[in-house]
Amino acid sequence: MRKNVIILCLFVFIMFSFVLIKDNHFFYPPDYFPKPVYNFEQPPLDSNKIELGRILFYDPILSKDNTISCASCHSPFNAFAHTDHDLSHGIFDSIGNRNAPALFNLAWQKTFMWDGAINHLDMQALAPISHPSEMGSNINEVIKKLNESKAYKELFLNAFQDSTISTSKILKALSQFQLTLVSSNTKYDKVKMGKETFTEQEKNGYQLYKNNCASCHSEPFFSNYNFENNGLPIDPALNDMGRYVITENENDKRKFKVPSLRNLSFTYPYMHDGRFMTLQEVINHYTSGIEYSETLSLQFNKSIELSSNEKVDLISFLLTLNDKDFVFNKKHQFKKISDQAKE
Amino acid sequence: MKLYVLFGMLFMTFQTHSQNAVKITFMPKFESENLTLNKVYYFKNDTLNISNFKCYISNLTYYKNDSIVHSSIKKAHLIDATDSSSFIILENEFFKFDKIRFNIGVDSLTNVSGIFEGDLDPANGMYWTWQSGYINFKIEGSSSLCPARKNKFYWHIGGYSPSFNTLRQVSLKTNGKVSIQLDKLFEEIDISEEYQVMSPSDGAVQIADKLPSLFKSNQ
Ligand code: HEC
Ligand code: HEC
Repeated sequence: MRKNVIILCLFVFIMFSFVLIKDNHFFYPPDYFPKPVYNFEQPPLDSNKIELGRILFYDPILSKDNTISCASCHSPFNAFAHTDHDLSHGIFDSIGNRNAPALFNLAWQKTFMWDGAINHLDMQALAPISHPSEMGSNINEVIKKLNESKAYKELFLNAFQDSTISTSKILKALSQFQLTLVSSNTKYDKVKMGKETFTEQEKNGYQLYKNNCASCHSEPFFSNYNFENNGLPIDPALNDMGRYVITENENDKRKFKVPSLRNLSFTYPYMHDGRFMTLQEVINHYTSGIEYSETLSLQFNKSIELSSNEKVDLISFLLTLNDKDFVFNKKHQFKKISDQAKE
Repeated sequence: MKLYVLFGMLFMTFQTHSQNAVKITFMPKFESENLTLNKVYYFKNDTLNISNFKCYISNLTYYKNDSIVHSSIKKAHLIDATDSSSFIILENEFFKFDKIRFNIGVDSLTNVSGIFEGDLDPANGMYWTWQSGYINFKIEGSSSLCPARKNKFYWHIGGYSPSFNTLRQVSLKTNGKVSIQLDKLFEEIDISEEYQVMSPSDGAVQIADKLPSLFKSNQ
């Protein structure tokens, strides 16, 4: 009898530790990352929901003509940005107005899109699904198509213990997958954890970054996720006013959400309209291309001066922010629905 | 035997309670008639019809002698002209009241709290997808005075940020029958000027200001 109890306790203990390990498995930011903004409580991350979200992310069923998936514009090998064209392509090859941003560390963002039009990660997917030049569908159409698939019914049942497919289940699953996209394994992170050291050049670049860039591209995300005007001349063909489009506040004209500097080698072209192909061009913009306007961020009142050696040093530091473990992580890559459940 | 009587009495009290459970009816109307979608109305010097009408009622609270007697359990209720059962809010409880207070629209906390189900499901067509936020009040149709293509007008009233806040509160002495006088909108808005409001904006705020006066007690 006693023995049974002990065995039972042991069993429970082992099961429990599995649950703990499993949890850490999905979301394990380093301890110098602050508390996430996203509320993980309802519902908590769960492997079946994440898997469903991953399958949906790669499935063109979300678009009107079944040709475009989220991954068409957010490729895992580009840190979930898009590199083929500057302005992302949607169905029928219509061109969207903006460059598809990289997707990682979304759990810490307060707002989404270049202008902060979206206020919650869960609501984000409604935008591309409904946008005529992105996926051109709507959520009711998507629910209808998913309902016709036996395999999806099963996936929803596994994920939510209920096979009725609803807006909230689709959006929660997509969020759960995207929340697992954490980039925290760069050389910078390893240095931070004391596992590696910077070269002299990188150290010098780090200092230049701290002096000139850190107020907006702040550690550890390399963005403060606020809206700033970094002096890009307006492209008259697009005339994109950024944050102003949402707030209609004059002070917000030409301000865009500060993008992260992690994974830059994978996320070119750069800026909201993808106007720069290389980091050299970006640095040259900051040293000699800043255009004055009423809303220009105050940091640029004093011009940034960098010698050509310093530019090289700065770039060598920026390259320590590439996260190969993240970009080539198989857990984030393409998964076909038929791999999961055969119809 | 005694037990039967007790059960019988219990049953009866339940019955009477459920029969008297408080019920509020929000009836969309055009002048004195109940609204019929796509029906042609002749109103002043205009010929118009309404093809779609939806609005949110939220934070419904009941008062008796100016103190709260009940707060509706439902966070937000969607009134949809295509579904007459949506005109009724049932409280499953009995209490006396002489006044109600509610919001037209969805409050800002709900607007920034992610995804909900039921009446707040974005699939109901009352959510802006390209810019987060609920549409509080939506009415569409055509009017002979409207200069747009096919004379179509769209009033999608929403916005929760302090600069374009379109949530409006209504306080109404009533015993449960409320009408939403949609004709009043056409009296108050110059449709030849303001016929397309589809985002949080000054125009939306101005129309929002007129919405509380549409709600009338209908004894
Ligand atoms: C046609 C290309 C395209 C498709 C398809 C697409 N996106 Fe995007 N995505 C974009 C663009 C462009 C932006 C930036 C839009 C803006 O700023 O207005 C964006 C922004 C985002 C953001 C905000 C990131 C940030 O840092 O603010 C997320 C999250 C996102 N997309 C997820 C998705 C998901 C999930 C899907 C599939 C349901 C999807 N996208 C489909 C092009 C696309
Ligand atoms: C005042 C705030 C601010 C400062 C300081 C600043 N940036 Fe930026 N940065 C931004 C904003 C805002 C954007 C996005 C602009 C846009 O697309 O319209 C941006 C974009 C970028 C991008 C493009 C990233 C992408 O994914 O598209 C790079 C690279 C970059 N900055 C590097 C730097 C470097 C290097 C420095 C220091 C020399 C610096 N920034 C200083 C605000 C700032």
